[in-house]
Amino acid sequence: MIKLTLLFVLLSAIAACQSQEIKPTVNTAYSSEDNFILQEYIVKPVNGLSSKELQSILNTIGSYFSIKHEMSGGSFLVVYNGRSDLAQDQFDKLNNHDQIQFASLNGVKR
Amino acid sequence: MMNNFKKLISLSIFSSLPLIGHANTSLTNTDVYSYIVKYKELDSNKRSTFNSQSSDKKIKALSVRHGIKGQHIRNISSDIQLVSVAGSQDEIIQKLSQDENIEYVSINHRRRISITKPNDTEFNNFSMWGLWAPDYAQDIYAWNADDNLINAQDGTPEVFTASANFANAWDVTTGNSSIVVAVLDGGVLLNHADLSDNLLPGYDFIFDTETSLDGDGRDDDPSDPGDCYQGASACESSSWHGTHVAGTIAASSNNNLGITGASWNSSILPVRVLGYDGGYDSDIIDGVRWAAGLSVPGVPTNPNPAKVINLSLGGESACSAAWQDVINDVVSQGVTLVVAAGNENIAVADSSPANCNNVIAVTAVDFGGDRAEYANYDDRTNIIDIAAPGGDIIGILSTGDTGQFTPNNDNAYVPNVGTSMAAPHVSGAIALILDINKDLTPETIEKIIKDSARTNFVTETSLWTPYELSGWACNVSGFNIAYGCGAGYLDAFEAVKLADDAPKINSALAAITTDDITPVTTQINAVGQLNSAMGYQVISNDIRLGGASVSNTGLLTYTPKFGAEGKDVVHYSVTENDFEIRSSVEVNVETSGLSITFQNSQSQYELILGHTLNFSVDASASNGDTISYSVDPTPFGIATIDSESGEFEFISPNNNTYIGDNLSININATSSFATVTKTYQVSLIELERADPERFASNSSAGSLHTSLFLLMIMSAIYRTRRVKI
Repeated sequence: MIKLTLLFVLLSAIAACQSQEIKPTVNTAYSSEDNFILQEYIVKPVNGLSSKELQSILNTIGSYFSIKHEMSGGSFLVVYNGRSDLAQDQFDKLNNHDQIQFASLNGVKR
Repeated sequence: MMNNFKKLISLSIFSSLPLIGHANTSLTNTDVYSYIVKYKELDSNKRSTFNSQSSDKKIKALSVRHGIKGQHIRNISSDIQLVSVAGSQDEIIQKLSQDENIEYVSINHRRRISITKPNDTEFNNFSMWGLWAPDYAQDIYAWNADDNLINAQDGTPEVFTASANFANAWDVTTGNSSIVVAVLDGGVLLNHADLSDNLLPGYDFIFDTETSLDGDGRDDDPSDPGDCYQGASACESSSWHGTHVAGTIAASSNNNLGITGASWNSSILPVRVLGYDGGYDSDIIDGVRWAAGLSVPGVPTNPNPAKVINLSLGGESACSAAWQDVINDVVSQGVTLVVAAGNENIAVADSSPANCNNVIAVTAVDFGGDRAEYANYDDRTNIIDIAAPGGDIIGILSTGDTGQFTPNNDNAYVPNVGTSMAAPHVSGAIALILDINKDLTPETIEKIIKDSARTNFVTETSLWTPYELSGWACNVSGFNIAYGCGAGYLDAFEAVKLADDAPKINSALAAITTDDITPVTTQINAVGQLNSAMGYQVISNDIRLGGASVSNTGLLTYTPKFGAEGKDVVHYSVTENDFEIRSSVEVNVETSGLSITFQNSQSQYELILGHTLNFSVDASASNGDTISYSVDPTPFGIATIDSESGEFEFISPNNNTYIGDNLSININATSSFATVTKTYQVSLIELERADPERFASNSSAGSLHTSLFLLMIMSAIYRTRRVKI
């Protein structure tokens, strides 16, 4: 009896977890991990903004941004690790933010 | 002041070649030489018999008098004549110098530049053509029995059309170790025997180990461990690219070993930013700032800031904001950036950072003067600034290594081709220019490089469109496209000569010390070279503790802010025609110990619209000076103050549009030594919002207190009644 009860509890817990699966809020067709991209940007906020303050700004734009390290000239190397279908929109929002002077793709030179 | 080029002239090998006759060393009495003759100012009697004659008759008279055969050539000035005389130079000089009508006579020497030939063992190698003088190259051609390599028939002058003429420039300067050229590249082989003497301590800016291939991130080791590895997908062997670039700029020279550098004695600052499969903007940009002496988080300050930064790197993209930002930062520090145009045979507008503003973009040409087939070109955008030797069939020889992946450290020399090889020729030329005048601005350096370029472009006849310029020409006949290769072929000799025309700072200004109340002046000691009007200007972006101005004669005045203390730097520019130089003076500001103190503690007031604010300002000077008061004009209302008593009055406007406004009123207290300003804040409020207690304390209109209070009560009653209705 006890075993049956435990099994019931376990199954109930699994069902509860499944029902709480996080659903995409923007593009309901999105499901594949292949659509994630890793992109780096050189971001220069307005003068004097700290990394903590920049991270707060990044958080208001989306949850895919994180600061990799501080650069020279008041810039930061920022990583976008998120959905590819949102990347351009997120980049545009970052570049157009009134606390951001510019955001440039961290390109490769040879 | 004798400048460098004039020194060269005075020290150079000279000879007086016969105007007519045999150009050999066994001169005869029939050889004709030219002489400069200056006639004496004589008394009126003698002048009438000789000085009044024409120049032609004067030399004929002298010929008869001394038994020589002289002819008039031209007048140099009213009393100096250029003449030709046949015969022995010694004899002519002896006879004419003793003539009573002649003040002096001297041989009109022909001055020649002596071409400096370094003793480096590879200098006569064909792959060193980039450094040769175009005509000097013909000497090489004549000397070398193995000239099949260039397949030339007769050594015509066109063969080395694009040689950058360093061989002549070295007669003016071979560079100076104080001029630092940063090589942002794949690092260098620090122990290469033909390079190590000119290397400064550098830095490795590569953040991730997949790119660095040295097992770690950023550190103070800029050596090149190789940029390829066994089994790599992006490469087959290491390039030793940075070592090659560094050698072209400043290999140890005239040391009986290997190659010659464009600037023999300049210092190389190796900054490693490229590794396996290139490098990221984030590392390169940090490296650029560090090379210029600017701060980079987590990296020690560069103790040897560069004046030139060579970027033999690029990628296909627009110029990003991040790149333009760093370029503007370092150019404002007086640093010149030289960038390779790229090797994709595309329009340079698509190659970055060559397509950014404020850099010198360099395309590559072959020895014959054609744009190299790989080299990116201009496309009517005027982005390419200059063409320099990059090689094509014949490459550019420089320092390298034979190791396939890791260095053999075998002090090798290898020929490479590319715009990566062209850019360091330009960087080397700029290093020489800076030795002529270290204060030249990047803008003026670019102008010198372009204005001194040779424009004898090889013109190709082609039906290819000028937009593509795929004929690998600098110029295509019929299309008037002379800017496929920018301003022309780099000419280091013409560039150092032109640099000598820029104004010069005779002596750097010594640091000034003053206190916080005393303006101080110093005379900028600059000399123009062109007898033109000179201009002076203060560049104020670094001045924090005061203000500075400069007169049109170069008298610089620094006025400290009262209360300031510390070190300031005043940058200034001197211009003459299109040339600009910049320098700076350090100002140490010490405290005078004097002060002016406002006794009023209150600085915020509320004022009912349409009413008057009165209070008394009380300030005192620490030395007992009398204080006089003034008030700055306000944007609205009327502010007045009694200059002696400090009684202040502000009459507010009676206009509802000002309700809620906060007005800043600046009241100045002036002593004999300084003026101090205190800002008072006045909030304009509606009558019904006024706090009777606060208002009562702020207004001197005591008789109004009761009335105002009653008015407020009445207003409240009235409003209550309106609500009820």
